[in-house]
Amino acid sequence: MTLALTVAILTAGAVYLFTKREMLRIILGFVLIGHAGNLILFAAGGTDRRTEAFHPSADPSVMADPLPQAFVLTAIVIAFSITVFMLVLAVTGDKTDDTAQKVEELDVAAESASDGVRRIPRKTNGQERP
Amino acid sequence: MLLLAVVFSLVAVILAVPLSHWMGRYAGWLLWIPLAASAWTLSQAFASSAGEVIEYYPWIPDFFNVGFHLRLDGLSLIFGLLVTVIGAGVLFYSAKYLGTTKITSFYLGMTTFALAMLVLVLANDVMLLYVAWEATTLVSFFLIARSGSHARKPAVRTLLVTILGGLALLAAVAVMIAATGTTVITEILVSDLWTQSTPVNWLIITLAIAAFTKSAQFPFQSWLPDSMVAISPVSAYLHAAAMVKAGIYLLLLFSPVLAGNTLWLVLLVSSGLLTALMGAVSALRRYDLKELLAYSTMSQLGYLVALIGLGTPAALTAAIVHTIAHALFKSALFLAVGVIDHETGTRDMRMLTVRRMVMPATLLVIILGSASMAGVPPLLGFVSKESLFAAFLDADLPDGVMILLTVIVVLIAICTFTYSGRLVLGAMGRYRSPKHWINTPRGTGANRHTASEASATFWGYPAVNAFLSLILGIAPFMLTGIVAAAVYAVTGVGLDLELALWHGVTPALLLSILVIGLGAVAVWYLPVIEAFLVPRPLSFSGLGVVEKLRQATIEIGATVSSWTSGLNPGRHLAVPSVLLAVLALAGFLTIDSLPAQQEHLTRWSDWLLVAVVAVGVIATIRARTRVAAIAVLGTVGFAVTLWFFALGAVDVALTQLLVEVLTVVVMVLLLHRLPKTFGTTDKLSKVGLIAAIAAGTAAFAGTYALTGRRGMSEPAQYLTEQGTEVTGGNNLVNVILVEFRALDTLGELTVLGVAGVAVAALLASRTPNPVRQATILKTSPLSDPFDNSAYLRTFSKIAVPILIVFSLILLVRGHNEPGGGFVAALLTGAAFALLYLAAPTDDAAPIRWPYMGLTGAGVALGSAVGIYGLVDGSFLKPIYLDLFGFELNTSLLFDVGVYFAVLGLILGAFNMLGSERGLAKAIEVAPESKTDISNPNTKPTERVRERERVK
Repeated sequence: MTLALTVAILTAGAVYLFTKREMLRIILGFVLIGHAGNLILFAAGGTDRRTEAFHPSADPSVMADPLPQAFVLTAIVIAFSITVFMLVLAVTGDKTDDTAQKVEELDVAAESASDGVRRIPRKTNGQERP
Repeated sequence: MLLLAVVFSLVAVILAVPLSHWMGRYAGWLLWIPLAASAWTLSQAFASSAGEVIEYYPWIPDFFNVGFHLRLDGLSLIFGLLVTVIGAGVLFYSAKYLGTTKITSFYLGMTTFALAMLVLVLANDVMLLYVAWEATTLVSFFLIARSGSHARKPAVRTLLVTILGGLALLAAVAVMIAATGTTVITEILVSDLWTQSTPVNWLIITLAIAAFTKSAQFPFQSWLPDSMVAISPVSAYLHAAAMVKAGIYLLLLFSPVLAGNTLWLVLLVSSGLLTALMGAVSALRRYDLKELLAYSTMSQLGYLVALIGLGTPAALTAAIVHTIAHALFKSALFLAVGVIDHETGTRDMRMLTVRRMVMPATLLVIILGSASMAGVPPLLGFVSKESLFAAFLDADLPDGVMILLTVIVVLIAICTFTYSGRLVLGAMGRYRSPKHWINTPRGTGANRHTASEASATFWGYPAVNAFLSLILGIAPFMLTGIVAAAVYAVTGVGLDLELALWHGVTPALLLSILVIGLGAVAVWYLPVIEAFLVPRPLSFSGLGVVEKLRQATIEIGATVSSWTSGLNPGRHLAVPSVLLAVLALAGFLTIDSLPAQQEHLTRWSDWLLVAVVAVGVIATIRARTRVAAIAVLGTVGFAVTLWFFALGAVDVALTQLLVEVLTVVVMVLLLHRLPKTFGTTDKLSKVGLIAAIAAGTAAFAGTYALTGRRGMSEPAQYLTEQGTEVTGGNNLVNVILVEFRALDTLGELTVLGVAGVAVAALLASRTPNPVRQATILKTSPLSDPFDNSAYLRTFSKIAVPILIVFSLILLVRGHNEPGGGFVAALLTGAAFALLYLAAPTDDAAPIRWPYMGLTGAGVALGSAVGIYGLVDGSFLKPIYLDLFGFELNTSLLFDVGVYFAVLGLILGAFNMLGSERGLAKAIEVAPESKTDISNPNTKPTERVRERERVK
């Protein structure tokens, strides 16, 4: 119950941040949803047994499931590296990470124009205009 | 023995990188030796056998028992020797040809290619054959692409065409395996598959596509001239002697079961002769000597394909002899043209007319090679050309067809003679353009630059090949043994082979005389022929088709991506969020009942954690400045850490704690490159709220529904009960990471490495935003970072060593107690983070380790431990070593690999992002343009230096 609530709060916060236009907020959203994912992995192992998984000090019958723990441990480090990567994405290229203030140019089509491909006219709808 | 030959080639690959580093371009003077050893081993293996050597090493026992199955017979011997001997020669030659840059990629590519090609011709397993085939395609792509940006498109086009052939071969391989149930080539060849007409027709078509793409036959011929942007040694080896012969080898390999089939005959003969004719005519129109040779290669390969299509023993013999002859003269010619290019700076015969060519040795090579190509006695090309005529004259075809084909072959031969003459004249600087072409540069005799001869080590190897063409032409009986063995392998009949220069007056001889006579006349009238041919290009070009296809592919990709691309990330992320809600709804509607939940899932203390997380999340989404958002995000991270502690996951909690610290450090390093506050308004967005609540509800429902409704999983039960007994480690989580699921961990280390490389690549290709200028009063105590950091600096002097020692303890004890490579590396990283924070300037940060190397070393160490595990039967199996009476488990070494990889990433992040100098290093800014990156810390740096000077 409590774990599910925590997951719910984290997910809701993450999705809310995803709807924002600043890269940094989206990255923060990713960090939150990463937490949520890790806790779901823990939930999969059950939350009734909570004794540390160390032999021989713990009795196997009350020992926490070590398998999700191992998954989560590597997941945390991977998430860290991805966070770093996204942060670098946020600070390169444009002066700000706010995607709302940009003119919809210099996009995929323009970049592939260097490959001799005709530029594809982009549709702009109301939502994307600053 | 065969494995030894492969191993010798592998040795060349392994040595390529270190030797290129130590010896530069002269690495070629050593690298040819292993290939020569490989050739010697092959010939010894064949000599000491009864005509066939088979070696089997298991590879994929679960899939049709696919093996590293090698087989050497007369046919693979000839191709194997071509690959290794010419490869060795080209490597030797390259030492003089190469410049000072991009040497490693060249030698690595060439030796890898030799290895792949050797495996291809020795393979007795269709899967192995296919893998080697694709390997040659990929290496060819890299060897073309390494020539620079102008080579990118030709490389991609070559790849597209040859990959198509690879797919066709894969289809053929799949049909063969499905129909015969085996992957062994010798077994497939004797199976009754070849008596059923439908699969055989499909096999002929797919094999022909594979061979035609590889050997540049119509309609896939266009990539070969296109690929001439590669440097001469690459062209000589891949695109004349070896790779293009892979298609010929494939056709010869399946010739025993397909020769005589009408479809096979029609496809191969028509495509081969058409290519031969097109190539020969095109060669007459080219001014670039190398391009001329490329078309000539196409044309000569066309001969070979047509001969294989005829399928008579005489034709196959001619094909094999001509393969040898062509490999010898064509590699000699390519390399000699390379010498000319290297010495004069041009390969254009019009430009060469203004040079005084004092290059007797090189020109002699060109004359001998061209003579062999033209079929002039007493060179080997004459012998093979005559057997070719004889094969067409004796073909088992209706008379009318036979005469037509012979006429075409003779026509091609005349063109061949003519362009050979044109090549010689062009290389000598004696090209004559049509009289009325006033704009074409023409040698005037006056003010010619002298082009002097290169050193003997340069023209030496081409000369060897040219003289071999001469010697083998005078004494072709020297080839009888090896050719007879190959013919036996291809036809299954032992022929009484007679290779001779003089067969008496035969129809073939008369044709040869006719060709030489008419060819000589044509050479004389070359300007007239050119005046006719050059202004009349083909109305279509295969290259254009490939280029259109390539562009269309990119356009389709751009169109498809334009449907989904947009700068609002929310729209991308909305899709999975909505789908999550849909999934939850579907689950709610379809699942009737769930098993009862276990008891004691919740403890009262959990509610505190929920509250902290809730506060943290709300604060994060409400934060108005970036720095505040990051700070409160940390709160959530620490609450989650406590959650992990509460759930009994000590190692995970430690990891989370340290990652939280490091994430904040990295974010702070980058924060001053972003605006201070968020741009969007303060109001809560309705859409966002609805989406958030929907996703949150879905996540809650899913997690609640799936938590605690069953006991421990079987693997977990095994691990908790047996884990320690099996491994001897008490820390089950660590034991899982480094032993039970070590392959996962190794994969994740690789992801870390890739992330590091991606960060570096990103910084190199997109300049980071300038740093936001902070306005601090000079009189403020904050303005002097040196004084400011006094406390932290003093503290770090004590704390950092302690932290590092402690992290090493964590590393070593990880198998039994909380700790392990991940945690240890993060703690070391945290210690370095402290050093960074304490440093008075960006540049004073003290860690300058090669972070990429560190990550690489970590992954390499992990892989090495894994490979060592093979000693005891499986990859990554932990092995207990008794080292000087001290018991060591290789899983500890693996954990050390984890430590290095993670530490490398952290250091990389600090160095690349933390200081301007590290950044400049990452993006390779030249020293003089370094000032372009605004550096607000310049002044403090100077001040620190001054201060140190005063002391």
